[in-house]
Amino acid sequence: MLIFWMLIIYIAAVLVMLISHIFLSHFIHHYNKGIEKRRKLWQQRFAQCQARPGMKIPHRYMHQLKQPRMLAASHDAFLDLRRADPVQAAQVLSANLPALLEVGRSIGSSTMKAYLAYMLSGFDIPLNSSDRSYVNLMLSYLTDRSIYTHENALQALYRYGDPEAVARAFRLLSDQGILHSEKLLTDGLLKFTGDRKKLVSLLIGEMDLLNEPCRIGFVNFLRLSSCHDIDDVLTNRLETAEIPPDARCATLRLLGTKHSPESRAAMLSQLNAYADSEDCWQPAAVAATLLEQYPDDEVIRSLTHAVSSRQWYVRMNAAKSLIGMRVSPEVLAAILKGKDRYAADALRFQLAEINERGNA
Amino acid sequence: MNLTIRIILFSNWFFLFYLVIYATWLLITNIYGSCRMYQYRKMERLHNELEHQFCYPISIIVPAYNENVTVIQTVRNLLKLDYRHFEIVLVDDGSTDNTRELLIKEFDLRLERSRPIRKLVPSKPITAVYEGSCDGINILLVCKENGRHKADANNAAINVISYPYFVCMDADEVLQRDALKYAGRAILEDANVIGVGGAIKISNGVTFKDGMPVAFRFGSHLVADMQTLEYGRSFVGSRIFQNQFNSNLIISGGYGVFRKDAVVAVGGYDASSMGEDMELTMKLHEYYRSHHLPYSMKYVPDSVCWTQAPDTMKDLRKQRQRWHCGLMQTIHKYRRMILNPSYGMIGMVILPYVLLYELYCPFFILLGWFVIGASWLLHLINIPFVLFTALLYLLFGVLLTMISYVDKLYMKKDTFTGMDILRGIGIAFLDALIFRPYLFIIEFLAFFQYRKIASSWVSPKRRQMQAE
Repeated sequence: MLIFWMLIIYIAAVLVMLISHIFLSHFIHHYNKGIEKRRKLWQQRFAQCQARPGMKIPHRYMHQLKQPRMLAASHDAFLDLRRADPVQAAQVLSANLPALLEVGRSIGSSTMKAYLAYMLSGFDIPLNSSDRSYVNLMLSYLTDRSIYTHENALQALYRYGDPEAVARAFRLLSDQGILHSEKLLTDGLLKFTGDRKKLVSLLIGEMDLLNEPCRIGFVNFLRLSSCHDIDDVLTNRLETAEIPPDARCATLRLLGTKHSPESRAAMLSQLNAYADSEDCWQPAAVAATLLEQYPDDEVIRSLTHAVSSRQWYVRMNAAKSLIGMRVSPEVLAAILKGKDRYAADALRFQLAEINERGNA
Repeated sequence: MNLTIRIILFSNWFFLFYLVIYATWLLITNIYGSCRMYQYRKMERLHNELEHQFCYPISIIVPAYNENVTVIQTVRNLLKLDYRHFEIVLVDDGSTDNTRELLIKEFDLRLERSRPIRKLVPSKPITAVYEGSCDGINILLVCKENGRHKADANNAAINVISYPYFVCMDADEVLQRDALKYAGRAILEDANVIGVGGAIKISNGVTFKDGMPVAFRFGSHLVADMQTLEYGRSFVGSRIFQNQFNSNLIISGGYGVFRKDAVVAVGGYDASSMGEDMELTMKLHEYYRSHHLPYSMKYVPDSVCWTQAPDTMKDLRKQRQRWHCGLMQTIHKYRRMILNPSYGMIGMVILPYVLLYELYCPFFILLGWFVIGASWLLHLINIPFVLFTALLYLLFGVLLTMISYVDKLYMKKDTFTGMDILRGIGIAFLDALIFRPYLFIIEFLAFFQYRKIASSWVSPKRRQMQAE
């Protein structure tokens, strides 16, 4: 009998589910209409703020921003206001920012955090530099699991333009072992709106404490912004510090964008040191390519040696550079007729490629 | 009371208890699944706004063995995917038809002589790699010796792909245009994601336009329709529930996204397994849990792949027998995880559930039928009561099926008519009365045909997808 009643209860539960499903589905269908309705509500609230400058939106309304629809609707309404009257919009934001940051501190969902950071990254934050509440909130978002949250929090910090905040963010990412994409980090740094020189000096100071993506992102940023202020520091690090292959390659690429005896020496040293390495051959491959712009005897000797490397990429890049340098036919003939079949193959392959491209 | 009667009475109670636990599980998982789906929809707008320029590049692996009927259309559909950065890697697994020639001609592929191949996971030798591009999307054709198994073809592709994540799918499927967008979102939302499983839906009776389903009606083919309901039931309820505890035991071989370094770390697919998809998922769970590494494998219901279901009972039987043998093999291989607290929810709840309610379910069901028959003969049960309870149970099952059906049609903004609902109810009844008992018998017999099934390979008849 117990089972009979259990089944009856289960069926009732499923029926309720089925009916609620249909209602909820209907509700979801009209989801966007709901946002539109709330957007108008927020427009009214902002209009009241406009009418009385400095007025704060009541706490109970700000509290509603913990709901996804309210957050989206308030964002839409604020963008409308900013389009219509940017000065008034800045005043409204200024008056309500502390309450908004409080909401930001209390939300738990990653998506909501990411959205709030995304929202804030679109605004000029009207805070003086002594108020750290905004920076602290964004830094706290960096410990979230979501890459959306990391990236939007970083975007908010780049836009805010405080070099110390960005340096702290990089340090925090490294300390937490968060492997954020180096490309995103580079792109983000390129958007930084504050004092770049100060940012570079702060990041250089932290260099040893940064994890690999942060280091690479930073060095690539230097390359893309043609900043060679710290080439000597980085060159020195290549010789002395324990640097992973990818970070080494990033430094070499940076050095490759500036023609100088120091860059040449650093690249040559990397080629010679790693051409025959089993597990760290990547710097040699990059150096082999970059050395094409230095066609002197010493470089040609090193490249000729690198053509015999056990590593396919090193061989190929060295062969390509030798051909690109237009070395004497005797040098090429010596490799082609030499004992090392792999070296000859690499050179022959590159010559065939060039011929193919020429014919095309 | 003699021993036989005692045994029958005990079996009666056991069988009832078994059904009650099953019904409770279904109810809980469905309630949970529905609530999660609703919450997910509420976040949709925020998710859409967060769509950025950044994404992880993904390699899509399409193994093909004698797939000349469908492979071109599959690649054309993939080219329409709504995702920023991906490459298509086709694997011709030593086809004896003209699959390779068709692909080379259709997409103007050129022999690539200089592409280095790092053998990260074992596979049969690769004989050639062709490369080309279409609409700015790289297409690679990897030709290899036949490995007699999709797993081997996937492994060969893993050795060639350029990107950190890859999709594995079949050559007869339609990856819905927005599928990678949702899967990519799941990867970005959690830095520890090593695998993403999507929803597999039945494409029979569905018409597609630009990689999106535009029309779907029930009633065109009964066998396929019943599988439509079956897939809906299993994907809406239990997978979402298991997702919460990071304990999904299978990312389907029909469509799954994996992080390449994670798969390489566990040695790739096992070419000797009949259920290579479940085997890989279990292997990843075991590896990450035993090494105490943070990881998660997500199920994303909006990331959809459409697959052709067998539309004859014969093809269905062969497919299900193979699946059941794969399940048997994998559970046996990872038996040390069962009731092992160090594997958490997987070891303590999910695997015992799979053991009792999936692997050995046919035994229990057949035992139940037998016991009811014997009790009836011995006048040990109240027949009207049993019939009424059975009817209630049937109704419960049908209603649950209808929930997944309503969800499938309505939540994804499709429309349906009153006639569709009536058809759905009718098919759900037929499903409970004919389809599922038939599957129980097939799965029961699979236990005794393991060797024969393991040594054979079945490829169901392919059809072109319906395009508008």
